[in-house]
Amino acid sequence: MAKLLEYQGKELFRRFKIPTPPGKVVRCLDEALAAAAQIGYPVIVKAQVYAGKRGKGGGIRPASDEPELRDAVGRILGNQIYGLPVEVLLIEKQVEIEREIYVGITADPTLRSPVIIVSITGGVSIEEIAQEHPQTLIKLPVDILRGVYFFDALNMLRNVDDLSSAVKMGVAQVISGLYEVYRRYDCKLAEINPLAVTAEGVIALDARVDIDGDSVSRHPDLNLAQAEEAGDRRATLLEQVAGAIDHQDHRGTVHFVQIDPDLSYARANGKVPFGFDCVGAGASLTMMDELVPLGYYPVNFCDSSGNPVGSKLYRITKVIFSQPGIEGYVFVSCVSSQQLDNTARGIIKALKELYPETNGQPNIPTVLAFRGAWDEEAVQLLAEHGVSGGRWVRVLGRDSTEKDVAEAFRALHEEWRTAQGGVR
Amino acid sequence: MSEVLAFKVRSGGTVTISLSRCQDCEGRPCLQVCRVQGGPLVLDEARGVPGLGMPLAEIERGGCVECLGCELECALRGRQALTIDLPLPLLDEYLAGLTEPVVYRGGR
Repeated sequence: MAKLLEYQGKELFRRFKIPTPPGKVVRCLDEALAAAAQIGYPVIVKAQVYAGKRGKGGGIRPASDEPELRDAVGRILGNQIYGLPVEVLLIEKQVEIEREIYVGITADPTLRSPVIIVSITGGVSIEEIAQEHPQTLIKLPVDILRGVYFFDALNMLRNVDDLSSAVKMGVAQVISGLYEVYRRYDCKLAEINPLAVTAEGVIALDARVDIDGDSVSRHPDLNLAQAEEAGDRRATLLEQVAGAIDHQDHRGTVHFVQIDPDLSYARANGKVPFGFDCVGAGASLTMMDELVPLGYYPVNFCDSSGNPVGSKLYRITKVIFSQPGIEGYVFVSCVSSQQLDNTARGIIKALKELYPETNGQPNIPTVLAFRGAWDEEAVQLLAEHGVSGGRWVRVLGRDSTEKDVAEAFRALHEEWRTAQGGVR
Repeated sequence: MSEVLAFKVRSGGTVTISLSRCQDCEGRPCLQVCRVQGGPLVLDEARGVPGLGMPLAEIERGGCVECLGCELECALRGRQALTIDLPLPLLDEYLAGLTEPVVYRGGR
């Protein structure tokens, strides 16, 4: 899933005639001062991070004049909100709110269709409202082939007594526009929380737009990184390198995510960091069941499966080895129909380029386990090309279990560490 | 013969063959492995060197399955005439920004 920041979501909103407050994106105090001077005080300073409840976390502050703006920017920019570093701010015109409404569109798996949700009482703690007062939510399942017409949106509000006709028209216009955003940008969630009722009409004060990660390539105009989902943080540059591999070639996949990008977790907990690649996500779990209790920690997840071409294995092997501080590399295949001789060729080419002085023999403990289709050919290729003859390389075949792999890696790593002087 | 045979592949890489080196290659291991994979390399009967058995557009669409076998076999049993360049956009930028060297460049 690709999440847009608030200001990016609002850019989409404006394309579909959803009103938003005047605002500017800034990255330093000088830009913030210039933006506020142009917009006019009072303004709101908003941290642009992938997190909800930013107000409670100190990421949203009002400023009625320049001193307050300096103070607000100083408290937010460069600091962290829920552990996420704030590098970008949105400076917006503060509006007088008469009332708050919630509007969201998401996929309902039980209905197998999009569903529009409106809460006339606002969206503070919308999850609790949905559980405790579901009758206050107005829902409209959408026939995705028919779409949403303006009168459909207006009809959702027909039983609401305490909204004027003008406000209902405005909300219906917003619902129609939000559905266009949802459909055209392949969203999993498009949400306005809150949609403010003001004297000038309704206006979207926040924007949450989550796009289906598999559709990112369909929206080059959004300039989103082609990388696997990595939770609330932005994709690292190395994850973007890996993401481009699948983007340019659909044959098989190499899903790569850095679990511990700066090795801070592994080092703080006395774990041994290593690079990891597995054919099959399930096999990677069973492999971790064996390796983690022994004190090893994978700094990345990688699932190179779906019978990827050899060039993908070449590229992703270079990516995995490009993580500083790793004390080993483990490749394991589940028993599948993947053509493992091609997998082996990709790994061999990568190792020969990374280690030209040793003709492809790595300087860190490396265990490669080939189990499945063409596994014997894969083992033979590694021997023919001289990789498996390396001091720090062990190649296992179809009879090996995850436990065998873990024990081989531990033995090799202990020997390697001793050779390094026994220190890390 | 100083001719070079070069063609693009699906993932954005380039295969380059120095045909002058291929003339005295007897085993032609690149052709053997490519035939097994159903790839584009065939023997150019007239010149006795590798040629293409499918249009360039078909190769770039995925006709070459990028098994890398031709390069590895040529290096091992042939005349070291064939290279495959597979760029990784942004990797150099990433490496340049690291504060700690990677293991294959002396880091640990």
